[in-house]
Amino acid sequence: MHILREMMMLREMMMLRGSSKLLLPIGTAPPRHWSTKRHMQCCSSSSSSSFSSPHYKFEPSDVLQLAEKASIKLTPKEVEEFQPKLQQLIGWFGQLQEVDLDSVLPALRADNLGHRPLREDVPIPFKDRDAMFAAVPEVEGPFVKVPKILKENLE
Amino acid sequence: MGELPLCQRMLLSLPSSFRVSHSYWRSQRPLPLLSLHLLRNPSLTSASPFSLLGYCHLSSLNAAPGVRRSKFRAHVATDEVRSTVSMDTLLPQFEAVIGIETHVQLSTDTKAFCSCPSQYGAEPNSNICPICMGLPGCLPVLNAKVVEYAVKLGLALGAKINLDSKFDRKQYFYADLPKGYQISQFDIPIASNGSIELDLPVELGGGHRRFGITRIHMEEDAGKLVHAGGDRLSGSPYSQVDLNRAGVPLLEVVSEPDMRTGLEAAEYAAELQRLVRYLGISNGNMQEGSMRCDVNVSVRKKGDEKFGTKVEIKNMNSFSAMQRAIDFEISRQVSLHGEGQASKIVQETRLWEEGSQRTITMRLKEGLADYRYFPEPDLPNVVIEKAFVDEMCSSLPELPNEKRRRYEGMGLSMQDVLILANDYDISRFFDEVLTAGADLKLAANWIMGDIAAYLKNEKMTVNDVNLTPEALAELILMIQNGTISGKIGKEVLVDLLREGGSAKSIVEAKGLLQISDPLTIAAMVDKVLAENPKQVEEYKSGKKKLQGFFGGQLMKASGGKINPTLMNKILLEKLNGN
Ligand SMILES: [Zn+2]
Repeated sequence: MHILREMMMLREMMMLRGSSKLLLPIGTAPPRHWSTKRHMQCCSSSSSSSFSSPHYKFEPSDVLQLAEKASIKLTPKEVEEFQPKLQQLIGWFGQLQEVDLDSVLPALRADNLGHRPLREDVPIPFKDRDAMFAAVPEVEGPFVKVPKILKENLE
Repeated sequence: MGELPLCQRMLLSLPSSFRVSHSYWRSQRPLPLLSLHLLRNPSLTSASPFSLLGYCHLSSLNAAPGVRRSKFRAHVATDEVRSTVSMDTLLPQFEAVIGIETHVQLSTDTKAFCSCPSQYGAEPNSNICPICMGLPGCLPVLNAKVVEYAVKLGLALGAKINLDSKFDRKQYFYADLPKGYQISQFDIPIASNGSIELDLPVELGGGHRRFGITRIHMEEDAGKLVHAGGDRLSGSPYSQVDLNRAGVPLLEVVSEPDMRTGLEAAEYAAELQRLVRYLGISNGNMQEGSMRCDVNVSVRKKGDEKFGTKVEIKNMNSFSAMQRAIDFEISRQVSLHGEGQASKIVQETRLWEEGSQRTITMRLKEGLADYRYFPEPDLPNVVIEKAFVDEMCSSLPELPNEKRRRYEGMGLSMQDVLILANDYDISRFFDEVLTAGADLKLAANWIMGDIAAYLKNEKMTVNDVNLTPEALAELILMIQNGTISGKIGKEVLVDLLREGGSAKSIVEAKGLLQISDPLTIAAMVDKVLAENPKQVEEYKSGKKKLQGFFGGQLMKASGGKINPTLMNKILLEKLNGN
C-alpha cells in the first residue's frame, strides 16, 4: 500500500469529519458561526454529518470521494484496500464520540499553546536556505519546477 | 514507493538547529511533503477544481492596456448589435448588485508567520524557510505588525474589532502554497461590520456614497507561478514557482453587495487604496498586484428583492479596468435577460480581457467550493487587549473622508477637495503650507498647478523634491504683496523644487525682486520709448495695440521683474500724456 496515499486519505478523513465535531466534545455547541453573505461552507456541514455514526457503512463511492478531495487517483484495487481501513477509522471515531465530556469546557483546539507572544516584524533570513532548497524535488534555475498548474482554469 | 527515500532526505536535510517541538505538531503536518510529491508526480494529481489565489497568475495574461481599445468598440458593436439597439430601453429596467473582495498585501518587513523578509522583487526563492515552505515540524508565529495593521484598517473602516479571533486552514491544492492549505480566518475574522464613505468624481456627476464592509480578515498570500501565462501558448507541461511571496501577509476586505455601477465599484476600490496608503499599511499598487479585487456582479429587475445569479470577475489591474469590466458584465447580463436567455447567466468566474475589452468564462462553479475550513492547530487565538485597540485608534491619521469634509468646510470646491485629498503626501504638504500662513486658494492652485505638473513631468512625488511647505508659503506671500511678479514666482518655484532653500534667499541671490519703484519704472519707460520712436509715432496715430509691444519690451529689459500693474499705469500716462 502506498503510504503517501494513505496519509492523504487520512487527512481527508479528518477534513470530512469536520473540525468542530472532531475537536469539540460531544453535546457542546459548535463555536460561534460567522454568518456571511459569501458562499462559505464549513466542513462540519453536509458530508461530515453522514459519517458521524459509528455504524456508518463506508462504501467504495465514499473512498473515491475522499480520493478526489485529496487530489489523488486510486486504482480499483486500492479502493478495495482502503475501504476496510477507513471503516475501521470510523469505528474509532465512534468510540471517541462515546466519551462523556459533560464537565469539559469546549475548545477549538488542544489548548497547550499558551499565550505565545507575537513575533516582532524583524527580518531574519533563514540560514540553511540553500540546503533546504537543494531538497526540492526538481528545480529550474532559481525556480521550483512543478507540473503545469491551473491548466483547466486558464484554458 | 519511490518517493519515500526523498521524504527522508528532506527531513534529514533540515538544519540541526531546527527543532520538532511536539509530536502533536508533527502529526498534524504530514501534508507539505505529500503535496510536494503530488506535485512532483503528475499522475497523482487529478483535475484541480479551483484556484482561489489564481489572481497572481492572471495578471500576467494582460495585454498592454489601451493599445487595442478601439478594436473592442468594433468588436462589441458587431457582437452585440442586436442587443445594443434595445439596450437603451432595457438597461434602466435593471439594477446591478455588486460586491467586492479585495486582497491587500501588507507592507510589513517580514512574512505573516515566519521571519523571512517580504520585500518585493527579490531573487526568486531567496526569501524562504521551513515555515513558508511548509516543512514538517515547524511552528508558525504570527507577526505582531499584521495584527496592528489589521486593527488599524478595521478601525479606519469603522468596523467592530473582535478581541478574540482565530486562524483556520483553508484547503488549497497548488504548488504556489506548498503547505496544501492557506492560513486564513474563517468564522471569526479580526474585524467585521464596517463601512466606507466616498465622494464620486464631480465630472461624473458627483455624489456621496456609503458602502458596507462585511468583514476584514488576516491571511497569507501564495507564491508566484512564473510561467503560467506563457504556458498557455508554449504548451510546456511545467510551471515555475517562486515562493518569495508565499506567506506574505494579506488583509481580505469583503464588502456588502452595496454597489450598483462600475463607477461606484471602481471608486470603492480607489477609496480603499487611499485608505491603506493613508494608514501606511500597504502601497495598494494594483499593477504590482499589491491590491487585487475580485468582483461579484448580478443583475435584477428594478424592484425585485431577490438577487440574480452572481458572476465573479477577476483579472482587473486598474480602477478603470474594473469599471469597464463591470459595466460590460452588467450589459452582458441585461442583454441576456432582454433576449429571454436569463438562464444562460450561470454561476461562474469570468476573466476580464484587457485586449478585447470583455469578460470571458474562466471556469464554472459547480456547486460551492469545498474549502473544508479547519481550525489552525499551530496558532493560538489572536487575543487583543482593549488598550491596544485604543492605542491604535489614537494613532490613526486623519482619514481621507475626514480630510475631504474638512477641506469642504474650508470653502474649497469639491473638485479641488478630491484632488488634494487623493494623495496622502500631497494633502499633508498642502496642510503644512496652510499652517505656514499661505492663502488657501492660492496654495491649492500652486499645488494642483505648477507643482503637480512638475512632479508629473519629473516622475517624482512631493516627498522627492526639495521644496518645503514653508518655502512655498513664503513664495506665495511674496507674490501676494508684490515683492515678486507671478511670472518670476514660477521661476523661483522651479529653483525651490530643485535646490530647496527659502524663496527669499533665491529672489535676493538672483536679484529677482520686483521693480516697484515708480521713478525707476518711469526711467525705464522713457528709455524704451526713446529707443522705438517709429512705434511711438504709430501709437499716437491710433495704433493702440502697440501698448502690448512696449509692455513686452519693458518686461524683456527688466528680465520680467517689473511690476506689471505699475508699468502699465506709467506707460499709458507717458504714451497718452506727452
Ligand atoms: Zn519563511
